[in-house]
Amino acid sequence: MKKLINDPANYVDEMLDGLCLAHPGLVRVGDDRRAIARSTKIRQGKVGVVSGGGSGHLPLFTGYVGKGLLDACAIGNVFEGPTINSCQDAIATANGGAGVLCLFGNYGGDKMNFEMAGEFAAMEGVETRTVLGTDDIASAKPEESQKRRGVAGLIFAYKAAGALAEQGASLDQVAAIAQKAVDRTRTIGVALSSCQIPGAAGPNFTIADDEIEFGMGIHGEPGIWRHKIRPADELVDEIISLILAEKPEGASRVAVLVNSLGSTPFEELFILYRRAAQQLGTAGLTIVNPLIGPYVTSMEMGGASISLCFLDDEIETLLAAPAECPFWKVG
Amino acid sequence: MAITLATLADAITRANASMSSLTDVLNAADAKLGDGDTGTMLARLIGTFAAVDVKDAENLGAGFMALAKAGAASTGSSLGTLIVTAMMTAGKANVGKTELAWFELSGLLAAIRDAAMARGKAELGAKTIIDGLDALAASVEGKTDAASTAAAAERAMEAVLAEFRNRPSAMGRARMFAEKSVGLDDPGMLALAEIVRRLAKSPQHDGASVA
Repeated sequence: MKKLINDPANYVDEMLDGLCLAHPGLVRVGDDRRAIARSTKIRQGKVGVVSGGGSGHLPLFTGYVGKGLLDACAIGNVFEGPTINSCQDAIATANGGAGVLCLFGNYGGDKMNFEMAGEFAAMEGVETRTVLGTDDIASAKPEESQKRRGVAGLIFAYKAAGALAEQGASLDQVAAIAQKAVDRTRTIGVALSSCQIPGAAGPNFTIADDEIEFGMGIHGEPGIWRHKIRPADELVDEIISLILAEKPEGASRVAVLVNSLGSTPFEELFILYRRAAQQLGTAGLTIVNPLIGPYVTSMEMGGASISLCFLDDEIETLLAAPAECPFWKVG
Repeated sequence: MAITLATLADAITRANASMSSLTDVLNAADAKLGDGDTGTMLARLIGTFAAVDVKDAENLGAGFMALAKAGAASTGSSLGTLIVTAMMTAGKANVGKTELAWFELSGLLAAIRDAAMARGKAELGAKTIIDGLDALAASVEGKTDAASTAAAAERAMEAVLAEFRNRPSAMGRARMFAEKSVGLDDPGMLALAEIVRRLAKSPQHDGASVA
């Protein structure tokens, strides 16, 4: 698999250098400079919101550092959790004296490292809370929803928590809204082709040219089924049907994200959105501010995901609040 | 003879040297169900340990803590963090101590196993490095010298790999390929086993020649 890179060992650092040069509102922090923060210091008394995860998913995670979203982000090697030190650096940078919310995907390494970083932070008097993104409904059954992976829907939690933190809410309140956004968000993805970790001998997984995997995770984790490719409308119908089977009671308005996993073009995303909008309309749901594009990727992986965040008044207001980062601007 | 900072430094040096032949083996084992980077990650982590001047630490506990600190900056992988957890556990257990008797090693390994289980939210029997640690701790119980410890540890690693090879994985990414994991070694358990085997085979495992 061909890539426009130099030494694979420098992939992440060179990417971060470029990101910060292109967006001066971001800076690299920490001894190993593997945390990204806003270039302006956090406002004293504001709750910090941090995330973290492996590289290879831009705009996630690093790309959502900005006003009304994340204050800092710890970044690991490709598909590898951030180091404990990076997590500590992100927490320390985002500490404005009111505590720090650690909001990241439900993956083993990330959990362990943020947990250890949180213990170190506690020793220094910094209070932290953790909320895990668990929106990938293909990764576990509803009765085991705490085992689900975090994928594209995590950005709705970023937005809600970031907006409430900007308003001066307490750590408990910011953690609560993040958890509510997670609880009301569902995602399913489909994969058409693999990606390859820089320097690896081969692709992350293999899939035939005429096959599609339904429910695959963003690192190539197995999904629900793999068959010959089907028309887009059939795929969207199955995705929407599965997500609506877990619709929270009383929800009538939804935020929709149709996300490219990397190489799938906007044209195909809009074909998917067209059908999703039809189906949601038929189900009596009103769509609010749809997001279409590459928001959470796996480098050059082919495929897409659809996320629905079932809104209530509080979440809808926070999603509409002003925010600005390199890849997402609201207001 | 007992385990001292010199023993620790020597073990790290030899483990680091062994990674030149182990890296590809472990990457290949990991690539069967994972992203194929276990060997590379471990080589980087142990290389980081080797760069720490352990011999000059104040005591055994400080030496382990220096390794934990260096490791925490080196890796974010689950396996790497469990190894850092192991170093922290050993550091806390050996605060102020200049040596650890061989008969105390089993208890330390059991404490490391328990800490790894707590950190990784893992249980015994899930086919992970934790099962390897459990077997290792049990195998060296009651051993009072380096030679008998090494021989027992080597046998235990062979046995635990064989015991778990045909079981499905129940943790981490491999749990999602549970059926496919039958017949394969867990990369973390394999890494522990291979490093223990190499250390056990060394003529310097009693630490005497490096003290």
